[in-house]
Amino acid sequence: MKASLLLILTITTLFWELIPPEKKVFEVNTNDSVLVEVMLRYEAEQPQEYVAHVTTPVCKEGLCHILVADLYWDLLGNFLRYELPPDQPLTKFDHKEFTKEDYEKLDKILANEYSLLGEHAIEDLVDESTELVSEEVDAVTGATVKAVQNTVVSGAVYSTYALWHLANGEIARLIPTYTQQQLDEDLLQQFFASDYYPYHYYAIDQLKPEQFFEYMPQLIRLVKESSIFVVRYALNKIPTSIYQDSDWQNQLVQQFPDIDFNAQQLLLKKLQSVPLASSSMEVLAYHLDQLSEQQLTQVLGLMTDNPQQVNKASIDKIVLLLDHTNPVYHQPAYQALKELSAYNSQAQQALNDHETSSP
Amino acid sequence: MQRLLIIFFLCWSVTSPAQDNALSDLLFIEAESFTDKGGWKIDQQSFDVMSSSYLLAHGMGRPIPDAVTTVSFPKTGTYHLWVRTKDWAPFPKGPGKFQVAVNGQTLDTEFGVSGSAEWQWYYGGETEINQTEVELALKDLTGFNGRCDALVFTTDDSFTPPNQPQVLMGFRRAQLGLTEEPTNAGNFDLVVIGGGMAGTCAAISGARQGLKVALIQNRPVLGGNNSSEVRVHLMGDIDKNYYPKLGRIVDELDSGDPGNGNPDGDLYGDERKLAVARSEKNLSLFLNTHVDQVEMKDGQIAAVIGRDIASNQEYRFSGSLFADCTGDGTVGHLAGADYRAGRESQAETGESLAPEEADNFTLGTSNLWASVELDTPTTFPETPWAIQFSDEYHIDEHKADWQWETGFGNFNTITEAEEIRDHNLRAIYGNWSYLKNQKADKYANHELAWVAYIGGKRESRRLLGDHILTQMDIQDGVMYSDGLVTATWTIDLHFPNAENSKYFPGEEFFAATKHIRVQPYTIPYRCLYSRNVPNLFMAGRDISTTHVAFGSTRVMRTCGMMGEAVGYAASVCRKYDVLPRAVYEQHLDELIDLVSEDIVEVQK
Repeated sequence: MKASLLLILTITTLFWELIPPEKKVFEVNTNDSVLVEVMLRYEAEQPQEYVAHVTTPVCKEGLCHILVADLYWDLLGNFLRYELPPDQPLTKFDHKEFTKEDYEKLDKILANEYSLLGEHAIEDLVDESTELVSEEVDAVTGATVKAVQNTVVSGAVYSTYALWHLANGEIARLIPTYTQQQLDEDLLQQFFASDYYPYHYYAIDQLKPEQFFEYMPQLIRLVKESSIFVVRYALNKIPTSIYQDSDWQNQLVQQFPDIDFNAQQLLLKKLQSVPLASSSMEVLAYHLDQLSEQQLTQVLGLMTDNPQQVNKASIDKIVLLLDHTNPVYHQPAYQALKELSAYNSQAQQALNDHETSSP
Repeated sequence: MQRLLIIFFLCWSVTSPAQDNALSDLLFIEAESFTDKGGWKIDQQSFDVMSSSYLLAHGMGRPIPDAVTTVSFPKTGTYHLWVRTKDWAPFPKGPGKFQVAVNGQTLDTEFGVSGSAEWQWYYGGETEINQTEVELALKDLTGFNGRCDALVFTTDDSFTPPNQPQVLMGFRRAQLGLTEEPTNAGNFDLVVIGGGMAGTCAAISGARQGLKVALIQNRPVLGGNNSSEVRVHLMGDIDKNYYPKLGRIVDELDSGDPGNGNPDGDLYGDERKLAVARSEKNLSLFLNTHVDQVEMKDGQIAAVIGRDIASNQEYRFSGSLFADCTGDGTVGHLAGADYRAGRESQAETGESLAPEEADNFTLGTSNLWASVELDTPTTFPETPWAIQFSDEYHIDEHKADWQWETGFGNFNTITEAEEIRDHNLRAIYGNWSYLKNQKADKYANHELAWVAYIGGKRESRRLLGDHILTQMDIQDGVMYSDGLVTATWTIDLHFPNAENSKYFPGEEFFAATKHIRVQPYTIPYRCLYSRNVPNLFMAGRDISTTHVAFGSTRVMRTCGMMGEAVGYAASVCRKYDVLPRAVYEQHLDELIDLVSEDIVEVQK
């Protein structure tokens, strides 16, 4: 008996351990006067997502059905997903169950925080002049107004509307405020370390100018691994003082071959306003023959703007372009060497060598 | 040796420091004149910028069959090859790679990947020519829109073909023998330039009124944006017309609504349009002919000159009346017609929808595309040179609709038409590569079935007539005495989609719109002829409107009806031997009667 009790206790404890702990963080009154409790869920003691276990009536002229769903948001209030009890699927007009396509459409609608549903009252979304009479029960529902047909699941205007407002309404607006109140060093590190790009933007935005030095390892990781758009955002946000620091400058320039063209352009633009270190220049010089004509002009421009920093290795790479099979390179390379030769004896020597060896 | 292949063997006198007054052999070949184009397409969309068509390797990511031709060299020997091309996507290096083969031997040099977006001559190395009859081939390596304008073989190792535009034009004309008189294509009552819906309807309408008509179109098909090359559906109603007789030719050409960008090109009815045009005995159809010159006499157009987009043969079309249905207002521009481009200011037009300041903003150009679902998975390569997408932003669609659009003042729709098309291609291929490679669960079995290489242009020049249609004319439903063509489309002025703008500021390729509803209204006849080139009509998107009003008049059924009206008006001109303005001033009743005939009840 004791053993059985112990077993049950153990299983219960294990089961309890498997369910991520959650704590109530705030509550919201919906338009239908239903109180919704918003919980914060933790995993490994780190905040993971917000959830609301919702039971709400969806009504039209007194005819109601109960919608039961769990709704989830990320830590910034972006709606993530909903989950339904297995025995309570969503239904349309006349209690027809949602099809696979209906669910797919609903997912799309709920994911659009800018949906027209946010701008319209429910009455605007159904055409009261073309009411459909239910064959099953004594209920009527207006035909969906044509203009918003893509905004709602056909035959389920009221459910779509209710779910969209739960997902993208007051709760979504309050979550960021709550998260911001909880933000500490650990959470910021969690955001930086995440693979979820919305957290990257958020984390970058939290940094004060003087904090960038401290967080450069994390920022370099984002430049290497995050969404192409986060990379551009990060390169833009990184202050000039970082680009002026030769070590961090070099680490950023090391990423040049692997970032997309727009990010490359952004990086070159940033480098134009700071002194370019010899080591950074060498990295760029190594890739000269993989650049577009426009980029080549920019990079050679960086070199001629910093003639003292152009070392022998970089000069050698420019010299290679003089005889490159791509004719687009010859003239800019020759011009750059000529400009550099006024300040740089190695460039002068390379130019002389080239001119004496040319027919 | 095929007759149309224009190849000239000239002794090109070259002066260089090394070789004064040397005489060398030079062979110039226009790529578009290759007899067998293989899978390459002729692209004439930038003719007005380049003075030439070129060949395009449009394989949607799969290498296409070679273009092949046979040429005669003046003598055997060592020749230097030059190829005029560009890297169309230097981000940083594009995908449009191709090689040249001489008598089956592929030369080493790979063209199209220089990193430079400028059209220019690239050196292709030396090649031994051991026999005078030689087979040349252009070998596409990727299917990703490599392009070739022309080739030069020369025995002079110090000769570089010219790149400077004016010098190049002279060189090209000299090589093509275009300094001589163009072939006379005939004298016509009405010369219609542009074979879109407006031009085709104008030509058929005029021909049916007994005029001797030339219809000149720079593509192999009629229909313009409604052809299978662009695949935009016809919009604007023809059943609400004040004069219901207008719209009948539009209806004849209409083969149903396949929507925008349908993967089945046959549904757009190219054959039907050609058949209707060809059945008109008074209509002479000149396909594949791009008009790039006008001859003026006493302030009027005496003739237009067009060039065959493949053979480069020049033709001269003289006539009494001309109709600019080019969309771009090309003929009007060449003839010195007054025009506007971009948006007028609110102060200038008094329109509530006009911007405060005038600017160069125009609606964009669409290159539509479609995929089809197959039974088995297919692959599509990574496209690092294209616009890049991610989970954060991509367009999760298996086909395009009107929103796939580039322009919006970021590019000039005439001088940068090639860049606009290429930007569209970079968006399409980049997004498709993302969907195929990162969303394989949904797109593994999808295959690109069609991508338009001809851009569907919405806006360029608006030629000015005696009346300039405005937003107020439309919204107040003003019925002028010469109100002729009934329009019904909303004021539909596209702008960049906000999210697209956020991710690609200044490089948008996805549009949004707000439809401003209108009641049916009529476009006055005075919008359909030039105010300062007296024998020039216009129909289509280049008629006399403000930018705002154009937002409503621009749809193709409405444009087609403008063409029909021009055909009727031209017949009045001929009957009284008068110019278009005199039809309004002296014979308006007769024009109205013409479009009213056979109508039992017309409420005037």
